[in-house]
Amino acid sequence: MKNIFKFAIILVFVFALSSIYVTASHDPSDINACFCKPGLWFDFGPGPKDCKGANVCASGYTPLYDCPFAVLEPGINECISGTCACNGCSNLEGEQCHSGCCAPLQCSSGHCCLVGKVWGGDSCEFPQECAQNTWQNTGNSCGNCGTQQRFCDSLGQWTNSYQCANEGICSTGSSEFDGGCGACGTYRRDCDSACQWSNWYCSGEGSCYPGQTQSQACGNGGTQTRTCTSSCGWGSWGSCTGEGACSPGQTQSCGSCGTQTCQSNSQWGSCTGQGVCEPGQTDSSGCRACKARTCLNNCQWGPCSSSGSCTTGETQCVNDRYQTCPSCTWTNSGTNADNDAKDLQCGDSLCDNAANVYDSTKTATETSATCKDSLDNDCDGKTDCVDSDCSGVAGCCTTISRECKLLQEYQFRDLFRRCYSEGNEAECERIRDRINNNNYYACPYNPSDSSCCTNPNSCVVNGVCYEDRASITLPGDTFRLKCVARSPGQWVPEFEIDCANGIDDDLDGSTDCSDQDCDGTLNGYVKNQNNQPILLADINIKKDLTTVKTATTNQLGDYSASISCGTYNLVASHPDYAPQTKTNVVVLGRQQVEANFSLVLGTSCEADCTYAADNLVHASCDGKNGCTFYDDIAKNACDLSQPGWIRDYNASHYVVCASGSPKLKVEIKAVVSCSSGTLVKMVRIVVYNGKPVRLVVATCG
Amino acid sequence: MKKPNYKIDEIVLVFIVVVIVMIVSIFEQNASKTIEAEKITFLLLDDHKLSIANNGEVNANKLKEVQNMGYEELKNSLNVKNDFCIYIEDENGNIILSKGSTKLNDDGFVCRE
Repeated sequence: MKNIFKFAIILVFVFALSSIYVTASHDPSDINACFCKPGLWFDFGPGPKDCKGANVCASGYTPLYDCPFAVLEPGINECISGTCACNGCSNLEGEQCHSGCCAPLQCSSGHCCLVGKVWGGDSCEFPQECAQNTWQNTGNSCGNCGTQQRFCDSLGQWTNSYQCANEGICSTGSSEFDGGCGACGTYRRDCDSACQWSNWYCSGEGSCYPGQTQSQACGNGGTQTRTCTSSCGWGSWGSCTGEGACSPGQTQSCGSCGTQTCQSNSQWGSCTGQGVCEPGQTDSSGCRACKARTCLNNCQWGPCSSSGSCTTGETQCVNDRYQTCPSCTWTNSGTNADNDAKDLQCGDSLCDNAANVYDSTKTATETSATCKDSLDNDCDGKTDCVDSDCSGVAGCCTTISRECKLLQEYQFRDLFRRCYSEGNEAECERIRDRINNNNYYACPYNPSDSSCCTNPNSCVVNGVCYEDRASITLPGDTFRLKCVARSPGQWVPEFEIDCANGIDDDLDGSTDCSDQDCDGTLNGYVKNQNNQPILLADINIKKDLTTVKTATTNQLGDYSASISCGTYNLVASHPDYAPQTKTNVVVLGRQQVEANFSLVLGTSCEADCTYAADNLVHASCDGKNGCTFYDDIAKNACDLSQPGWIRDYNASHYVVCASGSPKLKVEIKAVVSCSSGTLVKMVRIVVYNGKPVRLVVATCG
Repeated sequence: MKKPNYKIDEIVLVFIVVVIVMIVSIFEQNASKTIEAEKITFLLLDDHKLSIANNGEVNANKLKEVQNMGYEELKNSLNVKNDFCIYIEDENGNIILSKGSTKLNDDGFVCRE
């Protein structure tokens, strides 16, 4: 029962709610009480439409048809007997308007058209807005000076398609730049109001080009320069150079009261209007002697007036002093060598002013007491030791006369022979004159030629003192002289006068034949048995067994040798001839001796390749009398060596002259030591086998 | 027994004297050798029966005579006490001839009899 009751209550409640709802939908003032959902009507034809159950109507109402816009407007759609139906107006587009058109249709030209459309004759159409299929300007601008256009479709209706037509190529106010130009400028073009580019032009240029200079005048005709900087701006002006000395038109005083004007070149013009002198300047040239004039302030000379104390050429004695007037002024010009305050020109008669005139202050001769007082006490013109009065006084000189050695006549004749052999005609002439005049002094005799020499052992000639061994030649004299300083000294000829007196006459350290002055001459010829001259024969001049000199014959077979006077043995040798010897040949001083040889065929060569007359190996003896050399190299190496000598064959071998074969050089260095004690070495240079070597003696102990 | 009372100065003096004697002795020994070396050089180069040179030039025959002599014979002839060695060397220091005591020999090449 309860359930039923509950069910009942529920039913009641549902019913109540349904009732409330239906009541509300049925209200004729509420056109939405019944409606159809748009789009659910399939059958769009006239007549009642069935909502096919999709719509909900209030109880008692039946949905009819679809209202195209699903809007039921009061008075137009209403429910009639539960069916929703139109109220008689046309409700289809294009239908004729009989009883009006249902909203939202409206009548156009007798046909129902949707609001906004018009009857086009065949159908409702929207009215044409624009030219079909064309772009039409909208009147708005766009882009770069372009015109906005809107597309009109084929129905003449505006579309939402826009385009910007007739645009320019740039945006007004924009600029483009490209590369540098001009003075630090840049190429530029601007977009004008028509959105078109202007022509390129150079913009942003500086005022000058870098490095460009500009000058301007400055100062007194000077010039100053400024230079364009790297940023194309002018630098500051430089200093003003080349200025002239003045400003054009400027004037100044110049020279001697003159005036000069500055020229257009800013240089002072010439000085004009000058006077003849400088103010204050004095001059005597324009005046007579010892007068002068002064330049006035107007630069003109004033009158001449007297100047100085005397007239040139005047002389006078004032207080025993002699004065002259060399330049308009009195000047002491006298001679007062004895300082007695009285000049010679003013009557002084002292000996210093007049030789050999004595006064009370002088003595007759110099004495030992006055030989050192630096005065000419006896007025003879000679002071102290120079005066012969002082000769011999301690510390003074000694008077020495020229002394020439007196020679003998035969000595002069010897000398004549020598000069004759030497062909010295001038000397021979002088010697002959001496002999003819019996004048055998070594130098021109002149006892008045003297001098006071500090060294009493001196020689004097022409008033000059010479020390021991001094050597002179008197012009025009016969001999060159040497001073042999004894007491007094004596001049002797500078050569060995006598070659057999046992005296070193010329004091050169060599006596008689040892002195080259006494050299004689050996000459002669070498011929064969047919009296034909022998070329290249050797002449060995020996003293005892030692060869002291050699000579060789020429093409005429002659030889000559200058040699000290003495006694010699001569040997003539030639490889093709037997040697010949002449013994005890005497050569006198400064004399010629002739020694001739006549050789016979044979040979002078010995088996050891030496000549019989000497001990020298001769390459020319090769193959003669048993002489052989190892080869030509050895022969050349040994030529003029001695038997047994060692000579270099080459860099690594040596030969023993003359016939030895090359042997390897063995080089061993000397090494000596002393195990106990001290090693002492003595070294001497000696000649061994013709070469300098060291002889070493070492001791130890 | 009283100990000798030496002063320091006396000891130093004795020491100095001993040192001087030693130095003099050494110098005398060296001087002796120098004199002997000079003597040998003089005898070999100047006028003497053993002289091997005349006016600074070596005489090959005399040199051969000396070479043929024994060392002791040469030493006695020269009348010297210290051992010696004589040799000739060229400008390059190479030995040409030598004669002397083996006591001065260092490598077996120089100054052998």
